[in-house]
Amino acid sequence: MHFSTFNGLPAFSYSIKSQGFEGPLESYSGYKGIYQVAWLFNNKNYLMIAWNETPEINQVIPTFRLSDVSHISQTTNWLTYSNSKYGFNLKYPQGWYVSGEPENTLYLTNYDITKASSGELNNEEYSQSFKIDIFVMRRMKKI
Amino acid sequence: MNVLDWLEQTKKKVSPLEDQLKQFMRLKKIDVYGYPGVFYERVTQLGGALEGITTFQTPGNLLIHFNGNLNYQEHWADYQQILSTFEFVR
Repeated sequence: MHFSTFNGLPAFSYSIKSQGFEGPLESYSGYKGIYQVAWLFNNKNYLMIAWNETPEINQVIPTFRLSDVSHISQTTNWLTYSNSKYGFNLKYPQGWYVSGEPENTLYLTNYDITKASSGELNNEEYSQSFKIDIFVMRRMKKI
Repeated sequence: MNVLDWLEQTKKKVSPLEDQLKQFMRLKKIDVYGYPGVFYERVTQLGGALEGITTFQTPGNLLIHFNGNLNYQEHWADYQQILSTFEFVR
């Protein structure tokens, strides 16, 4: 096993030699041969890719891309919001805004909500705007 | 309140604003910081935008709603990543 990159993405990879297997009810031998395996870290999940080297697959493998790789970011530099009323913390990216009322509805936005309410967002800011509403439902009587 | 009880009750309610039963698209059970919850998406009748909503229990059996809206589709990864940082302070 060794650490490497897979199509430019951080990965660790190794080879395995499969002997095939026999099913409990019938003889079945498949997946024999030497396989290449790569593990990628994708947004808190590991993704395993395994392939048997053939001329065709060797052409396909270099085309593999993670479509959402641009969204992958580290949370270590994020800011922390703490809500003492309900006892929780969460992190959010630098440059984002927290507004609203901790006891009622919080707004976590990637834009300045005061600019939005006064109609000062430009078209680009508006088209990229994203908002998360966080609110707590208080106890309800059982019917 | 149990989040699954809440879900079953809410499924039966007609939204006064939209005059129809609430939608629960791509509904799945999840947990947030070890507490049970549900994730689902819906299309708003006013504007037709897609929203992502996570509703989960707190240690005190309250329900927290975590509602991603506006350009949710383009920011679903932000939504998931921010939700993954959620923690209760014991």
